[in-house]
Amino acid sequence: MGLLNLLRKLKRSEKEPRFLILGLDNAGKTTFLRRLSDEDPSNTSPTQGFNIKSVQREGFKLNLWDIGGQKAIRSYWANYFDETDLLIWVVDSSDKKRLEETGTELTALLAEDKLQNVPLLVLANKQDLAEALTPAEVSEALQLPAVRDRQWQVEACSAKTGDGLERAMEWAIKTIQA
Amino acid sequence: QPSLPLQPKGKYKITLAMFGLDLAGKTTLISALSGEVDRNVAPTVGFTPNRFQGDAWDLMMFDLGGGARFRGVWKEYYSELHGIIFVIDSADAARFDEAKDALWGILHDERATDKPLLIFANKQDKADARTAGEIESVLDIKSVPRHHVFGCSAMAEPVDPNIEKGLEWVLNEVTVSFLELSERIKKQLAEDKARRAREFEAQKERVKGYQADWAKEEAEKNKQKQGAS
Ligand SMILES: Nc1nc2c(ncn2[C@@H]2O[C@H](COP(=O)(O)OP(=O)(O)OP(=O)(O)O)[C@@H](O)[C@H]2O)c(=O)[nH]1
Ligand SMILES: Nc1nc2c(ncn2[C@@H]2O[C@H](COP(=O)(O)OP(=O)(O)OP(=O)(O)O)[C@@H](O)[C@H]2O)c(=O)[nH]1
Ligand SMILES: [Mg+2]
Ligand SMILES: [Mg+2]
Repeated sequence: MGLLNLLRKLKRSEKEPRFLILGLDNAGKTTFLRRLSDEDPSNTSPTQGFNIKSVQREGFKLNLWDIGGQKAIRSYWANYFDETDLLIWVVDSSDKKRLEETGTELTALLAEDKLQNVPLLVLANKQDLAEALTPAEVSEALQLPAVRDRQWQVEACSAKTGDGLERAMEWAIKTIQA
Repeated sequence: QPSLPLQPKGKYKITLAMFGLDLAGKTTLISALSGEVDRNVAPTVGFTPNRFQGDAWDLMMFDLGGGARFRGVWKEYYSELHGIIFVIDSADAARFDEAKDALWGILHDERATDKPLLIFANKQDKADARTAGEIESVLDIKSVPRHHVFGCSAMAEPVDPNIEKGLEWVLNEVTVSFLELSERIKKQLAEDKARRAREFEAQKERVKGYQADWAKEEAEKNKQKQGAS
């Protein structure tokens, strides 16, 4: 108990939390990353490897890791699990056809030992599109109600317009501090 | 205080969850339970497990979102609960019917019926707040066995003693029928687990199917492109 507290404290004072951003290809991960770091979010191309960005938020230097989501490269995700403080799962809420696919990928991911107890932020992205599902619909499709071992939250957002991103980041920072 | 029949492994491991409409004050109440009122909570669109340790109890308290669209997932949590906590904004008369329906939606589910039911008639600090007794009528729960309504104000500082009293009440209720509740929970959880595993397997099969279809479509398109050029 004492040791655990000590470890947790150490981690906190380090002030460089690591956020891992995953999701299917075309979900909007890179667009989201660019938005947060005030870069032009348009014209992304599919990520073959990964992108890292550091952004300052509320006294923290956040290290954001955005990994490519194409099926062929998902097996490399495991290389990035270590030391993750928060998992951000990005969903294209307008792509109903692929909801079940994103659900199975996330469920498999949450079973990974190295990601045990890591809080989960789901971005129900592309809310600017008329056909986008609501956060509640996304959480059901992802079977989030079956998750018990960690805190999770779904935030509606649009990486394209920037809507909802600040609220999502607020939740993220509050959560890693708790 | 009822006498404790037995204490498995030293402590009673108990799981409770906070239900109630959005804005009822669930997250604020949990912050008060932790001893420090958070005056700036955001709407919950998800799930936060909160663990509390006492001398006799090891308590897990789930905080869930109460938004209309989110209430559909509440039922996924009933199975493992030893007791139900329902929070209502006692001053929001315009939403009393909605709150009553939400509560009865829980009570009618076989996984939730007959479990100890604690009601927090929250926001008593507001001028037009109804009393605990009035809220009992509003929710129409006089005939529900094993329920208790406590008026409280989650925002109060220092922390409203009724919050602790309410929690004590439900923990004692759970304790007196702990064995029975635990057996029921164990059975229900095993069923849930089997059902979820079945559903997940079926889903994986469907996804494999889609992926094969998409690959075929893609190949077809490429062939046509080549044919055209
Ligand atoms: N309408 C809309 N389009 C978006 C949004 N976010 C991203 N997109 C578009 O979706 C496409 C994919 O975005 P990316 O950010 O490259 O997706 P990714 O998740 O990084 O994809 P991979 O790198 O292949 O894993 C691009 O055309 C983006 O412009 C959004 O919120 N709304
Ligand atoms: N006056 C007063 N305001 C309260 C009280 N409890 C909570 N609030 C306020 O009511 C609002 C909603 O509180 P929350 O704790 O977020 O409510 P919730 O039930 O968790 O809502 P969801 O997460 O959306 O389901 C916040 O602005 C709180 O500050 C109270 O006892 N009195
Ligand atoms: Mg990308
Ligand atoms: Mg809440």
